[in-house]
Amino acid sequence: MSKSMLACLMACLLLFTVAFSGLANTQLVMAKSEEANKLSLIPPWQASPSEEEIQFNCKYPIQSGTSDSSFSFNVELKYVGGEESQLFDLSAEGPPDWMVRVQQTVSGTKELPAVVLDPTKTYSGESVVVIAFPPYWVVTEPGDYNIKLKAASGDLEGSIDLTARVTARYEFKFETDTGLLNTKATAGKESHLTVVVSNTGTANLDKVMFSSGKPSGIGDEHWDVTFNPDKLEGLKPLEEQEVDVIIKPPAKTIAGDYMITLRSNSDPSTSSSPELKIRVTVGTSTKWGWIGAGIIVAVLAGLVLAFRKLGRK
Amino acid sequence: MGQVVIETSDLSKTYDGFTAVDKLNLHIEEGEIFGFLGPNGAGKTTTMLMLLGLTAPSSGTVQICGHDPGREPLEVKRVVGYLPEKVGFYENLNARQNLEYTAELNNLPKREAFEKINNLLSTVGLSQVCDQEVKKLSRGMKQRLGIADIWIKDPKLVLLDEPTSGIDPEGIEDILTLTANMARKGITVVFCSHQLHQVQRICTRVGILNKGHLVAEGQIDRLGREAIAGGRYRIEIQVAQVNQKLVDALKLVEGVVDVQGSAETLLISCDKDLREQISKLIVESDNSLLGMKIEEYSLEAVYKEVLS
Amino acid sequence: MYTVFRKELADYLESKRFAMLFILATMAAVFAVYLAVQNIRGAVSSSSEFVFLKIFTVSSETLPSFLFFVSIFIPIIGIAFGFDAINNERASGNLSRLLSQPIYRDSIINGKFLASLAVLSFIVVSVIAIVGGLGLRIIGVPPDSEEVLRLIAFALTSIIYGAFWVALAILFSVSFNRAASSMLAALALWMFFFFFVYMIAGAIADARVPIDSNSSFEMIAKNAEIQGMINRISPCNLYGESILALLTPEIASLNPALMMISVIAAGRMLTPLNFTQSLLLVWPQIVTMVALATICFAISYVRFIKQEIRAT
Ligand SMILES: Nc1ncnc2c1ncn2[C@@H]1O[C@H](COP(=O)(O)OP(=O)(O)OP(=O)(O)O)[C@@H](O)[C@H]1O
Ligand SMILES: [Mg+2]
Repeated sequence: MSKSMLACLMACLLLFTVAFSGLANTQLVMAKSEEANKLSLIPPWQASPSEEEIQFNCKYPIQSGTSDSSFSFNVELKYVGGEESQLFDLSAEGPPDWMVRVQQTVSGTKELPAVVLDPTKTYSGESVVVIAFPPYWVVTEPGDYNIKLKAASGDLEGSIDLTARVTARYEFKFETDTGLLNTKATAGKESHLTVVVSNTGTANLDKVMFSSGKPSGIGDEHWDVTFNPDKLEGLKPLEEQEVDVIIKPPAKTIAGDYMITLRSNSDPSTSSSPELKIRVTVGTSTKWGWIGAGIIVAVLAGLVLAFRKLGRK
Repeated sequence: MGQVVIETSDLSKTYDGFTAVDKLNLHIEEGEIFGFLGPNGAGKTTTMLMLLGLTAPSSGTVQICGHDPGREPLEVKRVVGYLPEKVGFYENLNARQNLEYTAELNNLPKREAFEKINNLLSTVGLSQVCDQEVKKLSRGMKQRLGIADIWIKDPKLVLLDEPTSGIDPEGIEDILTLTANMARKGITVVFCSHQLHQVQRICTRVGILNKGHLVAEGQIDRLGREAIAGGRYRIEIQVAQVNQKLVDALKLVEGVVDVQGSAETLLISCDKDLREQISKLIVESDNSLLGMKIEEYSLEAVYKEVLS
Repeated sequence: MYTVFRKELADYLESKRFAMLFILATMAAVFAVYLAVQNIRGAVSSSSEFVFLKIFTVSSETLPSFLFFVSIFIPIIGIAFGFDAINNERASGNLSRLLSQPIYRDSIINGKFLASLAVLSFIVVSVIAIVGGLGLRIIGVPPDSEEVLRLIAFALTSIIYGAFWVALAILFSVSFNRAASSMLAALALWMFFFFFVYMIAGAIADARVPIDSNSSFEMIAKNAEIQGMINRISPCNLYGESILALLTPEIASLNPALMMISVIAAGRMLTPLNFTQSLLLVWPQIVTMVALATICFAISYVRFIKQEIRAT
């Protein structure tokens, strides 16, 4: 109880001291000159700027990322030296083909074409987000790209340079040539499936390896899935390579659908290597299908023959 | 005479102590039509079954054309045609197919069988219905088919168990003629029937069975003489005028036992058939013979006499 | 005899009961295959080499397998093609006429027996072939030579079993003058063998060696043994055991409890038997069925030969 009382007392004392000192300072300035007298209303922390200007502040003006990522910069705008709030037009410029937007937040959807800045009230400025998207239809060359944010009101204008550093990257794609995730096979026979691995990125890919997951249940040890070639030394950017997958179900596989998984461990660093789940429809080998049908037909023929030969018409 | 076709000696059949056929001795020769008579339950059918080997005799033997039906069934059955009392056919087959099956069982060649079947079907008057299933035939038609059936093989001996039952008068006529014709070709027929006049018309010899015993056997007239006239022939003559002289003269003929007279007719009993001598005598004695008749014995009378 | 055989065969083939039974048997078979194929993926273990045989032995949860249908159909077909063989001929008055033809008396009964057997074999083989063909078409796994051998043995065993029922039905047809009585007698006997023997066997075995959930394996095996022994007086059971062992190579003992013991205690591996081993396992059963069929036929043969044939 006494402690809080004490704290309260301390706070009152502190306030009093500050107020008093400020009063004292003002009195001092007033005493200085007429001009100073005129400026006496300006808060003391704005004391130094004498000119109207707009200040930009960005903590991370250089960002790097791959060409498929977006770059977003948090920029704080401050209007100093003015007497009353003003509306500033905002515009952002990026390299050709880039899309650059100014938004309130990263996740926001609305663009901010302008912002009101109040020189009297603002302590830390108004923050906006500049988002830059590299063009998605071409792979952007690695390098530094300049983005300029401008704010202007009348003759008063200012800008800040932001840098998007595009780094090199690979983009690995693993898909079937047709895009379909099912295929047909015949028990005991090899069937082929073509998968395409491609690097749509900008960096080289080292060593691509393949592996497969075979159906659980019947005779799984006999399912044969081989890749041809069974590994790739590397893929250059924009290179595409077809891989022949040979699927051979065991000879005694019952007709029906089976799941196999094709995996490629292109990137050892990422735990989830791309995989394809392929539904293999094992059909009756046409030979046995026909023989089966043949047997039934033979039975019926035998029936007819028995009637013909043994019955009396 | 001809060859012996049926020979039985002491043929007996007992069913659990009941004697259906008792010590039957039959002797039937080729070409005979043997009438087999007797009241219901006398044992006629049983005898026929034993003749065919369809049932085994309890004792005694049967010889059909020299074969024992029990030991050599095929030899016997090859030559014997049997029409059972209640003849049956495969109801789902038609008349022709039934006969074809019989022909097949008799190993007849197909062509031969076909012609034979056609002939037989027209003989028994079934040509119109021969393609109908047997179940659609009337009872008499089936009986006719049964008769056709036995002629498919060329039998030497035919056993007919009441063949005319259920058949219309015309049909009976046909059957009797057919049977008589067959006998003329040398086929032996055993004709079992309750229709005495039919038996009398065609049979050369009859046997009458009662309770398993053969009570009478022989030609009908002989049986009649034995049963009714004490074995005598009775000749009835009509002459212009009956006088004592004629009666005396007749009595003197050898073999004449008795002569009884009335106004115009005389009844002569004699041991033998003396019609020739008697007619000669009458003509020689200047009398005119108006008529002469040897008495015939109806089978009916004989039958009644024998069984009483 | 051949003539009789041909004629009877023709009659049977054109009879309604043939059409009926054939269609019924085929339908049941197709149905069974359909169910088997639905369940075959689950039933085939990864080590199974006998995928094709599974078409015949796999059952669904609700409906029994093809084997069960077969074991019901064969007695019915056998009875259907034998129960009126002789007495129908006799009643229709055919028999006297037939027997006055120059054929031996036994050719009639032999011809009829063979004709019935031929029709039965025809149905059995057709149905097995249809099932095999359908199965082959659907699952696409061909049988290997051992499986084919086993199927042939299965067909032959079925025909032997069918022969027993035909012989029995003919025996009844010789013994009873009315077709209806001989059919009822045959069916009653079948029911006795099929249902009651099992019940009686179970009851006796439980009385002799009572078992409950915590009985030892030896006790269970003993109980099963007694039950099995009593069951073996039933030809239905003989047949059931035979075809099960023939079509399931994994079965190494006809006593299920013993088989379990041999695996658990003696460490026998669950490897399938080869064909001769399976055949040897059920050889006594097959021989017994042959003997039963022969005895039935011999009795009816002798009876028929001695019988008086009177058209009544
Ligand atoms: N299976 C049998 N068991 C016992 N007795 C029998 C049997 N068959 C026939 N009988 C008897 O044998 C006797 C002779 O019968 P059978 O059929 O030979 O007579 P039938 O002379 O043909 O008579 P019908 O003129 O009525 O045809 C009859 O008294 C009959 O009761
Ligand atoms: Mg009679």
